[in-house]
Amino acid sequence: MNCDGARQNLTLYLYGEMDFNEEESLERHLDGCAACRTTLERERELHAAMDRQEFQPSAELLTACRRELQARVAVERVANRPLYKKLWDWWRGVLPAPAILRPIGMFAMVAMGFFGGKLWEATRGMTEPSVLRVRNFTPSPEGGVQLTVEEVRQKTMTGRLDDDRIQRMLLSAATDPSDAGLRVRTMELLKDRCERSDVRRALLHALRSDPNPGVRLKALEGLKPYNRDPETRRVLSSVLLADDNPGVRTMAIDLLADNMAIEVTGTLQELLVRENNPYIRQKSLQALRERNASLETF
Amino acid sequence: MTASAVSWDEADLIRSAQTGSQEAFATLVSNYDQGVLRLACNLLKNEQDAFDIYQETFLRVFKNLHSFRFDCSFRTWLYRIATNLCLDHLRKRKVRKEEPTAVTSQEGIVDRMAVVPEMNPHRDPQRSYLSQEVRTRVEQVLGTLTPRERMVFEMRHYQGMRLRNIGEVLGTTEEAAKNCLFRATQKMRTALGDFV
Repeated sequence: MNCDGARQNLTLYLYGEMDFNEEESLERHLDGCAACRTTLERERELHAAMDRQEFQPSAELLTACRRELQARVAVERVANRPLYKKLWDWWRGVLPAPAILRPIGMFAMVAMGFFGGKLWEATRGMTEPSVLRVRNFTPSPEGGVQLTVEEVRQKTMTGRLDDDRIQRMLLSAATDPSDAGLRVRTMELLKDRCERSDVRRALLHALRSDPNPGVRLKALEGLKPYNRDPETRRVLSSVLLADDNPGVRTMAIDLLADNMAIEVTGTLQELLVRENNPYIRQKSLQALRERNASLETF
Repeated sequence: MTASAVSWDEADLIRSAQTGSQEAFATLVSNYDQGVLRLACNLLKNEQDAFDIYQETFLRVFKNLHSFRFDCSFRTWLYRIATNLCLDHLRKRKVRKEEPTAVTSQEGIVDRMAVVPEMNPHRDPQRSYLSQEVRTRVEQVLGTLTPRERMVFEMRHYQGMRLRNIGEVLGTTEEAAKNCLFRATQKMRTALGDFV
C-alpha cells in the first residue's frame, strides 16, 4: 500500500471497518512511514475531538420518555382490545357465580345496558379509552381478591388558548410533576400569553422551582418582556444565585443586566464571588462597571 | 440478514411481546431506548424533538410488532423506524429553515446543547475556549452535512454501528454508507484542521 492508499483508508482503519488483509497491509505501511503515522495521529485527535461533542441525554429525559410511552402504550392497548375480548373477560368473571345468582346477573346486564346508554348520552364528548392502575388489593380467605383500582380516562377538549377552561388545564399541566416533556410543551404554549397575571405567576413558579432546565428556559423566554417587573426581577436574582444550570443563569443575567436597577447590584456583586461561568462573571462585571458600582461585597 | 441475527433470548422476548406480554415489550424498549434517544438528541439537537421521535418510534414498534418477521435483526428494524422519522424531521426542518437550538442573549447566542454543566469548572480557560470553539465548529459542520451524511456519521461514530448495518437501516449498500461517512469525516477534517 502506498501513502495515498493508506491515507484514504485511515478513517475506515480507526472505525475498524477494514478487512483483515487490508488492515495488515496498512499496518505494514504505517510501520515504515513516519508521515502517515503523523497523519494517523491527527486523525485520532480528530476522532477524540468529535467524541467530546457527543450529547448524552439526561436520565431525567429518559425517565420522562419512558413514563410517557408507558401511558401511551396503555391507552393503545385499551383502545385496540377487540370488543369480543372485553365481553369474554367480563363473562368469565360472571361464570363462577353460583347458579342461583345468575338470573340476578342477567338482570344486571339489562339494567347496565339501559343505564349505560343513558350514561353514554351524557358523556358522548368523552373519548375512550381509559387506563386502569391497581392501587391496592386485599386477598380474601376464600381465594378471591378485592382490588382498589384507579381509572384514568382520556378526554379530548378543544378550544381557543384564551378560553378560561383550556387555560386552567394548561396551568395545571405546567406543574404536572410526572411529565417533564409535557411541562416543556405547556411552557412553550403559555410563554406567549404572559399578559395574564396567572400565566406569569405559573412561569415564575416554574422558573423558581421546576427541576427540569428545559422548562425553566422556556419560562425565562416567556418572562423576557417583563424583566422590569419587580417580582420578575426578584425571581431572576434568586435564580442567578441558586440555579445549577449555566444556560438558565446566562439567560437570567441577560434579562437582569438589560435593565440594571439598584436592587440587583448586590446580586451582581455576590455573583463575582461565587460564579464560575466566565460569561456570567463578565456580564456582571460589565453591568457593575457601567453603573460605577463597587465590584466587591461588604 | 437472517433469523440467526436475532439472539434466542431476544427472539423469545419479541415473540412474547407479539402475543401481548407487557413485560416483554417493556424489556425490549429498555434494551434499546437509550440508543434511540441519544440518536435523536444528537441528530436533532433539541430535547423536545428527541422526546417526540422517541414516542413516535416506540409507538410504531408497538403497533407494528405483530408484522415483524425476523427477516432482519430487531435492532435494524427499530433503527430503520427511528432514522426514517429523524430524516423526515431533518428534511422538514430544512424546508422551514433550521430551527435555532440556541437561546438569544444580549451578547450573542448561547447554545442550549452547550450548557450542560462543566465537569471541571476550574480547568484551563484557554483549553475551555478551544473546546468551545471545536464544539461550535462541529455544530456548524453538522449543519452543512446532508441528512443522510449526518445520520451515517451519527450511527457510525456515536452509536458504533457497523457500516453494513447502517446500510441495512438506511435501505442502501455498505458502499454507499461508506461514501457518506467519507464525505462527512472529510468535512469535519477540513473544519477542525486548525484545532487538531
